[in-house]
Amino acid sequence: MGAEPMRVLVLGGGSEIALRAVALLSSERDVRCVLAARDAPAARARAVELGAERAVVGATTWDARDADRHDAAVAAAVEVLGGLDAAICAVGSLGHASGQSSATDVWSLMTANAAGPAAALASVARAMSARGGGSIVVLSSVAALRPRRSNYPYGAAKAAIDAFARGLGDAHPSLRVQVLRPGFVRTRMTRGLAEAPFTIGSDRAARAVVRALGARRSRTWYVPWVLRPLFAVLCALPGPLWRAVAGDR
Amino acid sequence: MNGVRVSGWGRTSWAEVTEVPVVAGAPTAWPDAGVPRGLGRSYGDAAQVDGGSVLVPSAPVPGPEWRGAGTVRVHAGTSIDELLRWSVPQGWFVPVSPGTRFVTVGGAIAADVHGKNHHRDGSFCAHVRRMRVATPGEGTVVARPGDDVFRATAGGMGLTGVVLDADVRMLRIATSWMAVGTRRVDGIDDMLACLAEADGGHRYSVAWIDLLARGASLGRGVVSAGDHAMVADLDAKRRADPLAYAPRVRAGVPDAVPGFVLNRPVGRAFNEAWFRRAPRTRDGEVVGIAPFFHPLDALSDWNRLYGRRGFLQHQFVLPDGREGALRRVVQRLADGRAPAMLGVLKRFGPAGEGLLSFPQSGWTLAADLPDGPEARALLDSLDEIVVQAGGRTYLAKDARMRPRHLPSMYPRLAEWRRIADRLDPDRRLTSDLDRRLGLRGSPRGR
Repeated sequence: MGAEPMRVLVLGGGSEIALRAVALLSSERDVRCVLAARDAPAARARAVELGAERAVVGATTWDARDADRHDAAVAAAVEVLGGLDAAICAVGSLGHASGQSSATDVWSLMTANAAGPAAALASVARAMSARGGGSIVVLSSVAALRPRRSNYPYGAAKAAIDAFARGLGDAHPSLRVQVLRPGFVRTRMTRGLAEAPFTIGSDRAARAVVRALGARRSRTWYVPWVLRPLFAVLCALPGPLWRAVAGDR
Repeated sequence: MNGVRVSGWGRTSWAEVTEVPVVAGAPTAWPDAGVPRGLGRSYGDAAQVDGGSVLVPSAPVPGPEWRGAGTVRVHAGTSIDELLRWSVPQGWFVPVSPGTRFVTVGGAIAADVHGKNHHRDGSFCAHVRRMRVATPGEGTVVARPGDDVFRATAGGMGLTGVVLDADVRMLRIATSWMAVGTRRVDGIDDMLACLAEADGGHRYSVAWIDLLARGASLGRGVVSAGDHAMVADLDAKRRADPLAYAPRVRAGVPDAVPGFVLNRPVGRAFNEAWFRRAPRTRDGEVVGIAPFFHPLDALSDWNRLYGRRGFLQHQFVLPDGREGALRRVVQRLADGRAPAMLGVLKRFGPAGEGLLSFPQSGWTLAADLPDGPEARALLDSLDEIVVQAGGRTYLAKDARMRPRHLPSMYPRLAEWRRIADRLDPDRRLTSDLDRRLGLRGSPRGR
């Protein structure tokens, strides 16, 4: 174990991928972690279930849709941790986003998956830059790459946070911002949904988060890697063909 | 078999009963009049029937066993104390813990008990995935959430059958310690605001309210909110064995405490000292499970403190938005001639599916009063306020309510009666509570 503990903030502290990543990280080195979650007590219990109980030092209530709470939540975490070395942004929900969504559904989804996390990341970036830098992993999705009929609001929100995170990395030389684009990951969020090709478990996504946290410069990652060439092709397909391949009929 | 004299925990009314052990599975012969009885922690007369029988778990009770991740199958005669001693060192906590751990799982289901986490986790039966209930009319029934038998037995005060065992979903914990924050509040408005705020960020919350304070101090008290501590919350010594759990119970109270020990001046002095001792605000204090959840269990037989006349434990709930009625009740308790000592105030979350289950969204207040005519008159007047505001009193604690309030307090009573009559057509299951309030209703065809 390293001499100095790694101080980590998880935005979306109930996320299975993030908590597994923290658990994995804490098996390799000394980690102190604060969870920012809509339901802080539930995030704590989930952390214990997923083996992150030795790393988690606190949980703070934070709802991505609450415009006034981002700075306060980040400040609280920085105070508890005595600094901030890394952040994992794993907030988000699939919602019931489809063509039939109501205005409030769409607003809620866009805020929870894009506007809220972007605001929190801005706050994190300021806190890190003031202390000489840090490492940020943002969980995007391949859904960000091309909208599908069945879940385009989710895809649109992910596209927004994806672009925001890449910009954040470009704009702050002291930050290393990693944009992770997983395919279908088997988690509590996706339980009951039909699995896509190249589906992975949350442990594999967690390993990717840990690896990305150690990267020396900002970049985008596909999990699994094969999705990169695959989506290069898929994004180039004409619309009807894409819809057929994407299962949107 | 010889008659035994039993009472509820409040020791206000006594019954001469025959104890009938329930041996492995359903009773072989049902008594003419009987009710299940566990550890006798219901305060009133729910677990006794004068001149009848009490169905008691036969020792030894089989131990708990895991049924898949996080779900435990536990015999109804097992106490929460035994369950915790088994589960905590393995990193699991009961989903709901009442103020004492000396209740059986069967009793916890029959009263659908709640704890400091009701605002987010609901009552005990919300975490029961399956139970087996022995009934006089339909034999042994497997009940699952949503079933008639489940909805009638959850909070059914033991009047639908004998719960044999239950599958309970447990809560994962990292340590056997609690991280607790405390706020001292000077009046009732602050208290309600503080409690509502604490609920958002913490699994457990409760307030202790000084029911003897008047005037500007009316409703003053101490709000505490807690969560299961993480390993990082512990000091190095505790970190070595974060799940260590060995709660101790101190020697009891003798059976002959004079009745005047807990009177108004003593109560006032005690409350004052206790209020002053609490810090105005303190966070991150680490305390054990027992002092956080079961403070009264530290002293066994504490109910004897009230002497021979016994005490009335009273608890009611008022719906959200009826804070005015709550203030009136607190005012009346403070003005009353019967001294209510410490009250416990808490916000409930939504109701569960038990047809006679007590908790519903809103504010709940519990208070102890030494039994006597003034106390009973006072509680009668509180019932009127509670009924008018759409609230209800808690049957597991009741020893004196008037039967006429029952249907308005428990609007699903008729549905419950239909199911209870199906499960026990000859009405063999009855209790002094049932007789006093007419829970089962007037007998059919008579």
